[in-house]
Amino acid sequence: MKRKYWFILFILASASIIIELLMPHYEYWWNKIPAFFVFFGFIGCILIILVSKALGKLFIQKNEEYYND
Amino acid sequence: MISSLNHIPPAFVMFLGAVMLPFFPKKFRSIGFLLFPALTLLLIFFLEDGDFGNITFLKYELLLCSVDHLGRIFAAIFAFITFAGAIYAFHIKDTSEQVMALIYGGSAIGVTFSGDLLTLFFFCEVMAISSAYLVLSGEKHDSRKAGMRYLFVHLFGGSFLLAGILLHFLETGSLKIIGILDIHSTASWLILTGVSLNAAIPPLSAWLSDSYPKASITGAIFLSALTTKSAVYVLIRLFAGWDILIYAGVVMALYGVLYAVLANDIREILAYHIISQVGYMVVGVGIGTELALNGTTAHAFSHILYKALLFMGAGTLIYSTGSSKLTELGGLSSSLRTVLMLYMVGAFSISGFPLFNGFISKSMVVSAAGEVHLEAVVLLLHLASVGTLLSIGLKLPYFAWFSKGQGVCKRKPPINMLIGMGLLSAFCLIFGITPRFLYEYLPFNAVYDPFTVHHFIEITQLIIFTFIGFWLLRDKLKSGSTISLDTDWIYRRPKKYVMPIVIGSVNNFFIGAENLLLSLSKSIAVYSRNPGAWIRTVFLYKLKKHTILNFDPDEARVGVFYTISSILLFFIFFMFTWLITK
Repeated sequence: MKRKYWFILFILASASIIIELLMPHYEYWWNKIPAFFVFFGFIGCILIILVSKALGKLFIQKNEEYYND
Repeated sequence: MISSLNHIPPAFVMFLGAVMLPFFPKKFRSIGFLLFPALTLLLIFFLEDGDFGNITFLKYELLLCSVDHLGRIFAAIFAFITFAGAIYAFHIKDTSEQVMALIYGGSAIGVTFSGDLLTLFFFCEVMAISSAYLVLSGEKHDSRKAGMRYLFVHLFGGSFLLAGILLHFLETGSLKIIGILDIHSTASWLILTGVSLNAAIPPLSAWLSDSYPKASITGAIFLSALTTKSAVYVLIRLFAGWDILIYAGVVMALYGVLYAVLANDIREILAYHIISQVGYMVVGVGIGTELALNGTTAHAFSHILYKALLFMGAGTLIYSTGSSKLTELGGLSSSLRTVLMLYMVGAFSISGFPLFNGFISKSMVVSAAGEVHLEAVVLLLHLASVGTLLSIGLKLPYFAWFSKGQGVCKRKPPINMLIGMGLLSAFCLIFGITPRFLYEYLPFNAVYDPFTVHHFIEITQLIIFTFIGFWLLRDKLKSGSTISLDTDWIYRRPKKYVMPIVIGSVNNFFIGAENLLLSLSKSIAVYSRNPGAWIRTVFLYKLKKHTILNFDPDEARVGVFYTISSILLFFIFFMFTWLITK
């Protein structure tokens, strides 16, 4: 991906973190952790991929002729 | 005029269309296909609150049409999506598909206005049968099989629904839909089972991901919008506040996400995300507060718009390239750029990007969960949201359009396909930017504002870092040519064991009997060809097999000597008798 897109993402991410620190909002316990959704999004995404792929390998994925055997 | 029109059940306008359409001149059938949903939408708009259409069936008092805010908003979006689907399918000249789509849309509208449970059951069954046709008419080699499975599973669910309804009638003496069902009654649980199957709540969800990817390109649009969302409507009507639905909904939301990561067929990815998105709605029903039910209604409304749009995008890809598998697509960003852009509007909507319509409804359900302090539910729904962006917003477009692949655009999509997508994209944006257009029509009184600073911050961080996670692991997301086992394993895999017993044994019996008869008649035929030779074989002397099988008149003929001597003998005998009697 082009460098300028990464730069835009970087600006947006930093802006969101700065605004979050400037305008605190305590609705849930996780609002006390700064940039909580930065970690949540990143770890969540990786977790979903790994767990799904692991389950797929374990028993979910079969070859396309599985039901026609 | 208007007041008399007010007493026509809107479903019947669609049914009328289905009856009349085959009599339209061929050129005008596609226009007729557009006209009836449009008329229905107009009728729903002018429909006043209240009951009408009382009929007596056997000894039951039925109410065909009971109109209120909740029913109206669902009916309106059902009629609208049938209209949009008709635009998308304008180039299709298959009258049977058009007729079935009208019946399907009509019966979904019928469900939303049903005043009693038996009418509801009737419309649900009509919906099951008409929608099965849209799967059966699919272009794939296994569409017919999937369509039959779809039909049987829905009839199975329908029998639960009917059993529950009849038991409910025995217990309460009434079929009228008046409010939430009693949680302590077996009847309610039977009805819930039937409705859960239509709503695709796991483990009763496998029919959806099995059949939708195999439906016809245009049929899938109607399928994606109607069956599950009409079930969500029934859940709101009969099961609001049932706690078990909160957990069922969370499971659904994540279940769809996990399976979509594995899927290779583009419409299978979208189908699993129907399950995931309906999960949000089911959570809302389970919470049961006014905000939650408004959220569920709004999310069903938004979901129908963007999901139909996504299915249109996927359908256009399949139409243009002839392939539905990510492994066979890729490299299409220049040839199918318009389709990509319209698809991305749907993808941004489902992922909950601000200013797209998913954002204004999904956040409502999540906030409703937060309001009743279900913090774990809030976090798990956010996680499902991450998964949605991952599969629909990133994986699918990346592998279908951007990655280096072998996808070739063989034919340009017809303009009506793009107009259909454009229409839905416009509505996704209009409702996303001005949510009050939707909120004004929501059935319950709950004030909600999605555009708060912390919502924007939350979603921005989620989106950016989900994207980074995807970018790092994107090679891992490459799917192979595999299928994923789902709960349909229960009725598909035992085939190889059950078939020999149930069908094989009966078949073998009939084959055996047939063989016996054939061999019997064959031997009779052999011996009746030359019975004389056969008798001689048995009583006089051995003949060659060749002689038995082939009748030779000379062989069978009696010699001249015998003939003359028998005539002479007869003559002598005759003379002798004559002399004596004289």
